[in-house]
Amino acid sequence: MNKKKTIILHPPLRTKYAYEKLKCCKYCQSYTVLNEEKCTVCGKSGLRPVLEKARHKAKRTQYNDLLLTLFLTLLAILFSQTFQLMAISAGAGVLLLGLLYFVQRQALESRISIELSKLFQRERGQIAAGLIRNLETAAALEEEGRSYEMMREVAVIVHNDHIRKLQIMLLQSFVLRKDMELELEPLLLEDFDPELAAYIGELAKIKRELIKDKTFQYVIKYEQQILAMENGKDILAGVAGATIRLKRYVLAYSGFIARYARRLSKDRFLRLYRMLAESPGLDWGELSAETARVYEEKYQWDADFQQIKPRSTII
Amino acid sequence: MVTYGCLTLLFLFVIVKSILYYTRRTHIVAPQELDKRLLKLINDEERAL
Repeated sequence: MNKKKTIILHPPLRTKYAYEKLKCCKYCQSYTVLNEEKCTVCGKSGLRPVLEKARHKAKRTQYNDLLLTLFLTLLAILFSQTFQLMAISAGAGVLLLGLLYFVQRQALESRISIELSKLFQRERGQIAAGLIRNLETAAALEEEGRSYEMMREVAVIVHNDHIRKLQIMLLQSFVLRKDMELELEPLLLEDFDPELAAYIGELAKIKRELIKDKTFQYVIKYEQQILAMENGKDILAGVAGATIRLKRYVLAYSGFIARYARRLSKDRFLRLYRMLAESPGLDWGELSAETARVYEEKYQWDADFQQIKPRSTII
Repeated sequence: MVTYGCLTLLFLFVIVKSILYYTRRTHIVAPQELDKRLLKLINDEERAL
């Protein structure tokens, strides 16, 4: 019985840098990466990006310098015994205030970046606590699609196998579709995980463009464990089919493809056959011989293969 | 005398601050570096918990 759920995954809010996702409540100083309207800790609408917090702090430091300059100017005016000295004090104050303001404006961006760096260092415990709270919120949700979306946001900053496994488990409970915003490389684990292998197998069918070098290396590393799975051979054949997107992949993983060339679908094998026929001079290793064998056995009389003019005698 | 003292202090303060602001104006921590620092801090902290 198929227990998988049909859900709609919303695309993540993409930011150029991970820290741009981080927000801080100006009332209770708690952090979050979730796209929330109100702070989940104090319930107030005081969430603002960390960059804005750093900008606020940098500007406040600069205002304090300006205020001190103004205070010294006023003090000098107040204690002036003649009008001439009063005018000199006022003129000097205005001039120096102008100079300080001008230099401060020049240095604002630098000051903000330094404040932000200090903020990360100073408040790393609170940031980590906020992210753990976000993860707990995501895990407690009954709506699995939303839960996955939240975990995906947290995983932008927190990189560990625990979150990756939770994400894979959730993904494996969904009916995956081509139009979904899926990811693979950020979910690759250190160790073998059958759920991850099954997920890779599904992506090989619906979104093979997500399967890249790191995934090929993961699959080859745990090939024996995947083979021991119920549909392990199908997963490996799917991944082998995904390598046939680029000549570079075929050259790099020719031994792996050769082991599963027999199980490739017709369209993938046709693509492989064409690739090899077009570049007979390249070193394809054992893949040439295996492709020739499969061709002889299964596709020798297939009309689609007849249109390809082999430039090599191997095929 | 107080006026002269205040004016001296004012000049010194503004000159020192201006020099500091001026010399540090190009010391911008690049966003990539900020990103790297945050990820390192959080993931180290998270491992320690």
